[in-house]
Amino acid sequence: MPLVTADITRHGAVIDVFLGVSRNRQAMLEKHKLPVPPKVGLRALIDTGAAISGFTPPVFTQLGIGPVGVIPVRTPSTIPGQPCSCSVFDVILYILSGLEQTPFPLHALAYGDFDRDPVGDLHGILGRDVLQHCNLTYLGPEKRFELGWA
Amino acid sequence: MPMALERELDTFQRELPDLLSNPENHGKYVLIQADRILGLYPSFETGLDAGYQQCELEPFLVKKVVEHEEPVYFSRNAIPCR
Repeated sequence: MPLVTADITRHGAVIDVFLGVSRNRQAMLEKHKLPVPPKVGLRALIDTGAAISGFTPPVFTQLGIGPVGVIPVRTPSTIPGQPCSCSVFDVILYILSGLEQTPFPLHALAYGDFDRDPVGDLHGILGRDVLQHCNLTYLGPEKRFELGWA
Repeated sequence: MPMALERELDTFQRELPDLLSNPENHGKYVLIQADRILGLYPSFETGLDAGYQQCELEPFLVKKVVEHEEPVYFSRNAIPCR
C-alpha cells in the first residue's frame, strides 16, 4: 500500500500533490492536436470536515479548464437552508508516494479564501471524496500523520 | 472567476419542470450545452463521458434532475457561480 508520512504543520496535515486534466479532456486535446497542460503541483490540507475537495481558482486557470457541473454547497458562511451554487471542475488528483503517482479522478470545487492569504503556499483542501479511498492516521503527540491508499 | 455555464444553468431551470414531469427522469443527470438538452444519463460520470464525446472542448453542463438537490458541506468559503 503506498504511504505518505509527513509532519503536522501549523496548518495541519498538509501534503504535496499534483492536479491534472481529466482523461476525457486529455483525449480531446490530443484529438485536436492541442497541448495538454502540465500537471500543477500544489500543497493541500487534508480536511475530514469537508465532504468534497477544492482548489484555488488559479489552479484551474493553469489547467485551462472550465466547470462541468454546478452543485449546492453549504459552507461556514452560508445561511442555514440557503446553500450557494458552486462550479465543479473535472480533474485528476495525483498523490505521490516515492516515485509512484496514484491518480484519483475528482469533481472539485473552487474556493477563494484559504486563510485569507491568496499568495500563501496552500492551494487545496482534500476532503472525504479523496479520504474515502485512504487510511489516515493522525499521530498528534508525534506531530506527524500517515496517509495510505490501495 | 467569470460566471461560467450561465446559459446552461438558465436552460436547466427552464427545462426542469418538464424533466421532472416524467418520473423516469428523477435522479438522472442531464447533459446541456447552451440552450439544448443533449441527453439523460444514469450517473454524473456517464454524463461527463457523453459531454466530452458530444461537445469535445466546448463548455457543457451535467446536472442532477431532482427538485431539491442535497447540498454538500465544504469547510471554506467556496466561490458561488451565480
